[in-house]
Amino acid sequence: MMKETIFLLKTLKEWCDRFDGIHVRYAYDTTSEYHIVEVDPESIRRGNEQYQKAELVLWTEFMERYPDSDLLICEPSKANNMSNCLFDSVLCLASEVWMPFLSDYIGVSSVSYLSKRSSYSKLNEYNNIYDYALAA
Amino acid sequence: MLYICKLLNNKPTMPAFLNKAQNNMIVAETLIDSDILITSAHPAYYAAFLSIKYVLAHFGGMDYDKQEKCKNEKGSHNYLSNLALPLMSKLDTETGNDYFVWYNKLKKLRKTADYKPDDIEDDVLKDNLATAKSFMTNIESNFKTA
Repeated sequence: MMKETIFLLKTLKEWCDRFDGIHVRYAYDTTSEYHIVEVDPESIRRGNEQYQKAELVLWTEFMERYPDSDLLICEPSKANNMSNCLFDSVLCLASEVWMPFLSDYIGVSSVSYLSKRSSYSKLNEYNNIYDYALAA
Repeated sequence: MLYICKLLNNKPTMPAFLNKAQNNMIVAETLIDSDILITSAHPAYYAAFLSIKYVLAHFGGMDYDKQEKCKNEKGSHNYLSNLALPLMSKLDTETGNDYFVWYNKLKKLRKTADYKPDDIEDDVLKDNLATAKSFMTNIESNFKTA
C-alpha cells in the first residue's frame, strides 16, 4: 500500500468525523499519477471556514511529507479519472476490502466507523482494490 | 500563427517571467479559439508555473538563479510550487487552497495531454483555460510589482 494512500485515508476519515454532511471520494489516477480527492457539497468545501483550514493543513502536510508526489483536492469533476476509487464516504467502498489493512493503520474505532457507515458495496466493479489489498 | 507572433512581439512592460506567463495564456486562448484544444493544456499550465517563478523571485526572496540551482536537486515544479504556498496562504486560507487546487488541476491535465494517449473532452479543456485565467488573475491582483 502506498504510504501516501495510508496518510490520505487517515485524514479523510478524520474529515468525515469532523464535518457533518461531507462527501469525500479518493482515487489514485495511474495515468496522471495523481492522488485525487473530490469533496462536496460546495457549502462545506468553500463555505465552511473550519473545513477550509483543514484542507490547507492537508495540502501543507502532504507536500512536506511527500514532496515528489502529486495531490489534487477539488470539487467533483469529470476531468478527474476516479475509476480507481479507493475510498468513498457514502458508499464506504473501503469498508470490506480495506478493513484488515486499515485497522493496522488507523485503529479499531475507525474500522467500526467504516463498518457502521457501510450501507452499500459494489466491490465487483473495483477489482483494482482487490489487487491493492492483495499486494499490501 | 501570425496572430500569435504579433501578440508575442508586444514589448514587455512588466517583469520578464510574468510577461512570459501572460504570453503563454495568450497562446492557450488562441489555441482554444482555433479549436486546437488539447494542445492548449501545455501553455495553460506553463502560464501558471512561470507566474509562480515570478512570485518567488519578486515576493519570495528566491531569485531566478536560485530557482535554477534548485531544479537540479529536486523535482523543480513541485519544489517551486510548494515553496509558493505559504505566500498564497498568508493572504487568506481560501486563496491558499485555490492556489493549490487550480495549479494542480492545470498540472494534472497537462501531464495527461502531453504524455498520455488518452482523449480529453473538449469542455474539460475549455474549463481548463478558465482555471488558468483564474490562477493568473489571482497572481496579478495579489502580487503586483511597483
